[in-house]
Amino acid sequence: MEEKQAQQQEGLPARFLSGVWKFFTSLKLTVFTLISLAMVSIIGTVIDQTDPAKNMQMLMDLFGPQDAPAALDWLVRLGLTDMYHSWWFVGLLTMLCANITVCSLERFPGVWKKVTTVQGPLTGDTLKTLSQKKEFKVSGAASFKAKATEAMKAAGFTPREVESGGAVHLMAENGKFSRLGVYITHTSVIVIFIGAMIGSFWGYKGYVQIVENGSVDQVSLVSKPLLKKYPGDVVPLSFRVRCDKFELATHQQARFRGMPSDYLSTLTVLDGDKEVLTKMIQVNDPLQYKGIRFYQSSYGQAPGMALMTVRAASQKGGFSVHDYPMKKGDRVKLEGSDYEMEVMDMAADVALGPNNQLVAQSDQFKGRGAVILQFFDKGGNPADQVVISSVIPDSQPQNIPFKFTITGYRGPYYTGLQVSYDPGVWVVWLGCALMVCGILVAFFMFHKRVWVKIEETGGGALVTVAGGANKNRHAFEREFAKLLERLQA
Amino acid sequence: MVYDTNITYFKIAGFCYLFAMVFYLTYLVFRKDKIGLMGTIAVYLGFAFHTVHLGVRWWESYQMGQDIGHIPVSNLFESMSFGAWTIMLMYMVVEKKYNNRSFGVFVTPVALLAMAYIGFAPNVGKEIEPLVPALQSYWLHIHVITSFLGYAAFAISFGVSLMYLIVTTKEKDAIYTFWTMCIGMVIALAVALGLDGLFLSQAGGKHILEASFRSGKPIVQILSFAGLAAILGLSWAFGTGIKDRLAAFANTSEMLDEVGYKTIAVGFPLLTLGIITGAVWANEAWGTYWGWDPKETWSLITWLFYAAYLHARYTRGWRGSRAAILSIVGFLAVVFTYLGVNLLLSGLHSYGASG
Repeated sequence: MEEKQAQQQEGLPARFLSGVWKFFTSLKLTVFTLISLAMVSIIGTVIDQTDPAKNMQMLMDLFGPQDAPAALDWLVRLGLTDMYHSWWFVGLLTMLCANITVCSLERFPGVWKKVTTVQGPLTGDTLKTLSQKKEFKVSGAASFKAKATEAMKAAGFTPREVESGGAVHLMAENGKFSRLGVYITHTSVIVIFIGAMIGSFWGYKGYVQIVENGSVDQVSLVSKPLLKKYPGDVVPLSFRVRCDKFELATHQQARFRGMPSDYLSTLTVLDGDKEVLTKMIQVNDPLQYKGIRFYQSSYGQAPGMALMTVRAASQKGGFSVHDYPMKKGDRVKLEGSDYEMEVMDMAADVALGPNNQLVAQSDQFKGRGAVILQFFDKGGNPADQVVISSVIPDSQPQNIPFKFTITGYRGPYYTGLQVSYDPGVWVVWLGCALMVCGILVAFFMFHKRVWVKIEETGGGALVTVAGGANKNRHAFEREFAKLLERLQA
Repeated sequence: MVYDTNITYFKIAGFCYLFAMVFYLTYLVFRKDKIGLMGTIAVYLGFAFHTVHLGVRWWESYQMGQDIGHIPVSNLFESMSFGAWTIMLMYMVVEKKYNNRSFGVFVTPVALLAMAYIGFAPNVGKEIEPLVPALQSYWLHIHVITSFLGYAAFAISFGVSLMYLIVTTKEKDAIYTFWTMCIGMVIALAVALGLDGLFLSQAGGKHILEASFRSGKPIVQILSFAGLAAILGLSWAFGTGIKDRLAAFANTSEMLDEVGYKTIAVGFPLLTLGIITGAVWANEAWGTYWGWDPKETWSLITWLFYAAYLHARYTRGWRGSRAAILSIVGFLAVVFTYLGVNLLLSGLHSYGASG
């Protein structure tokens, strides 16, 4: 009695483990997990995963402003506002992985055996398992064997010949490796998960804004890697990225005038003070350097950094004209003179106010800009200060023989780039490629086998033709019938 | 110059499909082979005009400007028109392969409903517009084409699975109620869209179903729901008549089960390719191959669902009726993935506020 009890107790951990194993070999578990994942994923499309304000709005519509905050709190506690990273969702995914792995480990050895076993001659047992078979008599064994070999070749098989049990066996099989398709597909799922995990552990997503002619050497993190800490949530780069120019291309056709047709940023990468790479990027065409990718995402007007083009036309001897693109605070030499000029202030669009002073209107340049220029003489002493604007054309410097006009204005842009570093992405692509291969092999290729057994009898031979396929039986039936036709012709 | 010749071809195609459905319905009731043949001819004719519509629209977009030209799959109108085209393509293949015209009455309504919706809904824009920068990529072509071919295959499976349930009905049980309700809902939707077309001819921010269920007038809404109840009730009452009609055709339950499965076996790899190409494109455009965006998530939900279907078939007892029901529910997921996400939820794939 005691012995038996002791035996049972020893068996428990082993029995538990084998019970767990058995649980994970279940196909019913697969169907349950797949449908559960599908159902819970729906929740994440109704409850906003990125913007709490949207959820608050939705809850207010449902429960009223009194109860909405409490309801939102419950959603957060249950992990529903970031559900795809919650423990229970990841748990379901893990269960699916365990299910796939255990099922494959359990069934693969048997399938591998089938795939590596060479097709043997037609035995009585094998014949019983085959769905397609026919027996008939022929007059000459040798001539039939030749005919059968040709017929099998014409049907796409490569027949082998073996003598066994007093009969000649011609046998062939195709698509044996198609049985592995399912395992390729399942492995691909695991590979994709591994790639995704590598990306979550060490990859990151961030954002930079680069003003035209400016540059950055660090990235603000939007999505942090799980296994690497960046102080201040900022990733320092070992190189600089400079924006040479941002261009907003618009459509010119009348119906679509003004609609953006392209966002183009010309970026230059500086590594160790050397320009190593220049590329004009646009949406769908990012810049990549040292595994980090920069994507055209947004743009905007950079305040306080407008570029105004002032034209200076010489008033003495010969008509010479020079354009000066300048920012506020720029001080440049006035060509053809000893003077320097500095931009004290500028405005894109002005009008004459009630007291004859200039009033700034919009920041759209329509040809009515204004700039305050301070001139400095040869010794660096301040000379004239004058407001230049088409609105007051007579306002020109007294002692400096140049006429000034404003010929251009460009508010500088900044370009907004999404930055992504994902060391696992190529593993994911490998997994995807495997998945496509695996699915195509599993669905569209199948294992076909045929036998032609020729037994010499007195004055002729008894022929047995048999075959089978592991999938797509109807198609194989038709193939088999065709082969029979050729053999009996 | 307004480039809208393509719309003319669209309308002709739509009418051909309407005739096809009427012929197939008549064929189902009277079983005259000649009528069935006319149905097939109407489908082929409609498909030809539909192909011309797509080609002309593509050409016209380039006539408007080199920077405006694009493959016609970029907005709700274009993608749904393309979707209906893929459904009819898949249907023609299946009809030819199985030499069976009784499928027609179950598949053509889906394509027809799609054409009717985008044809009549007042705020589904039909003009050719340039691609927004995010769509300017060759990935647009392969992602949209593979996804829609997948959806089309699932649409065929939906129709065939419905037929399976009809043919195997023995009594007015839960499954009978299920398929009669499905048919009733499709008929009610078609009637509602027809009302939209008749009464909502002006634009101005009107929404789909506003001539009936979403009308501002309570009396119209009450009548709409009453009509829906009546249609569902009639469907339930006379469903056995549909079954008797179908029984006369050579549709064994095994064959319907097999076709229902095979179309999913074609659709699943296509959907997989659609999701993968979408992920690769997302990685080139935004730096993230998977962002749990509602559209991405719903396409995964659909994929998981059909994966469950495929695995369930290896479990005893999940062939036949259960598989058919899974296929029908799966198609609802497809419709939500394509339409529900764009029209009801927000996100990167939103077509904006239309419908």
